[in-house]
Amino acid sequence: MRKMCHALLILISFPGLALAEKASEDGPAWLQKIASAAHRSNYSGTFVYRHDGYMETSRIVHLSDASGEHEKIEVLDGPARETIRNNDEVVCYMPENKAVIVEKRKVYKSFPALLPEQASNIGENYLIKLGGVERVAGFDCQNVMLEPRDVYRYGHRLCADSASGLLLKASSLNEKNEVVDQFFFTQASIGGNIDQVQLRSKYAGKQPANLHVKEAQVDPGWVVNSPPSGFKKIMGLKRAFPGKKFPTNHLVFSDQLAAVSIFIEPLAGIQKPVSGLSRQGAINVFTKPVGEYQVTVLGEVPAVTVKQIGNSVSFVAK
Amino acid sequence: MVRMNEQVSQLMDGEADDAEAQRFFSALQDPEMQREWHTYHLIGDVLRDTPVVSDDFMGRFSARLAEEPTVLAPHRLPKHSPRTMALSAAASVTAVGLVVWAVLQTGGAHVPVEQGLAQVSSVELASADVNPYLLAHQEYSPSVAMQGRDPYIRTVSEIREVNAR
Repeated sequence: MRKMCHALLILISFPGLALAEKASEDGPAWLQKIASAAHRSNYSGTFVYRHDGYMETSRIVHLSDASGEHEKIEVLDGPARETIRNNDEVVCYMPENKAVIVEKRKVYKSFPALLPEQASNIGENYLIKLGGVERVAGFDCQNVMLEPRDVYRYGHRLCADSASGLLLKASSLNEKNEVVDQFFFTQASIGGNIDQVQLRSKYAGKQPANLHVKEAQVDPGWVVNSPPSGFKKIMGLKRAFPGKKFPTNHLVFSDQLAAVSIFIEPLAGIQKPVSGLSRQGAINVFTKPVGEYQVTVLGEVPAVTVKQIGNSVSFVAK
Repeated sequence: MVRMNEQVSQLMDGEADDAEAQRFFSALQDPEMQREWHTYHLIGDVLRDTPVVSDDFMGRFSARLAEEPTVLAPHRLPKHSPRTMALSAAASVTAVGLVVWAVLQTGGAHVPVEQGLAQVSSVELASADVNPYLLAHQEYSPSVAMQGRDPYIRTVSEIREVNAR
């Protein structure tokens, strides 16, 4: 009888469950199409990024040719910033700070290239469903929903050009189905030729400040005992950070879509050691001391995820 | 009008102080301002994907509200005799007991994740502590890269200083 009551309760509290749509077989194919289009096609346009009350507009030009990917992103609001990318080399111009930064990126994630090039494993952590067709930036746009399989990640609503698969709008949704943050094109042209001139920065020629950062192995002994399911370690190193006194351990866990960074730094280098949750824009942050160290966990994931990861970091003497 | 628009958006973002808000609400008597106010909320609703109510909802709502009779009858003062107080207290205790019993019956050992979170209060971090981390995380998250706010720029100027040394 008690079991039956439970079943009834569940039905009452989640009426949607009984009517849940069947996951579409076309979903994964669409996801792969979206992943490829962002990296392997030519496009240009203007897009908006927004979260809470904050909003920012950028212009993007993307060229894909035999030598790989070439891209320019120019932020149109606030302080001028231009990012020029040639495959894994990223040059960022910040004229107001008279700064030019050159870095090699192991991972590059930027709208509309939000999915990894191989999107085949996303279904392990997200239920993929095809949604309706809407219009975005003048294009017919196919919605693909990524519903989290547990509470440890946000949901995503991706809307891609029906013809080319280029991502035109992407929203992350919290557990109440509220939009956490959103990217969307307001104008886009897809395909056609991109002139090399369009990919040059107007600040090019300024002396770049090369970042020569010494990298080392993560201190052995630091372990994350129970990361939420689906989150796997994709990176780990120890390096100096600008503005930090001591070299810091940096680990990254990802479920292919969302990434969580873990930083472990001696407490002596922290200005204001605190323990608890906070938010930086759409990013949740959890900090706590572990022995003589401060552990900081942050990422575009629900607060419960950074907290669980933070609480499972420990040092095992070796 | 430009000045007014600024006020509307400040108020909606919760950036206006009390005096400004009061002045603004007085100005809202003006139909032109009311239209402006609605337009801004409509923009917000569209951006948030909130379903938009039918046309002229406010117009019809205001008309119906105006037709509602104003009730002028005085409130009856609530009188609590010690006896009813004691009884209602007893009832509350019973109710709590029932809830506790129900929780125990359904196996209250399972604590929902959110409850665990409620115990952690939100803390404020020193920007010098967290900004270098946000910058380092941006390689893995597009949302950080796009925040053209202070943290990013400040961290960058720190990089410049480091390089200048």
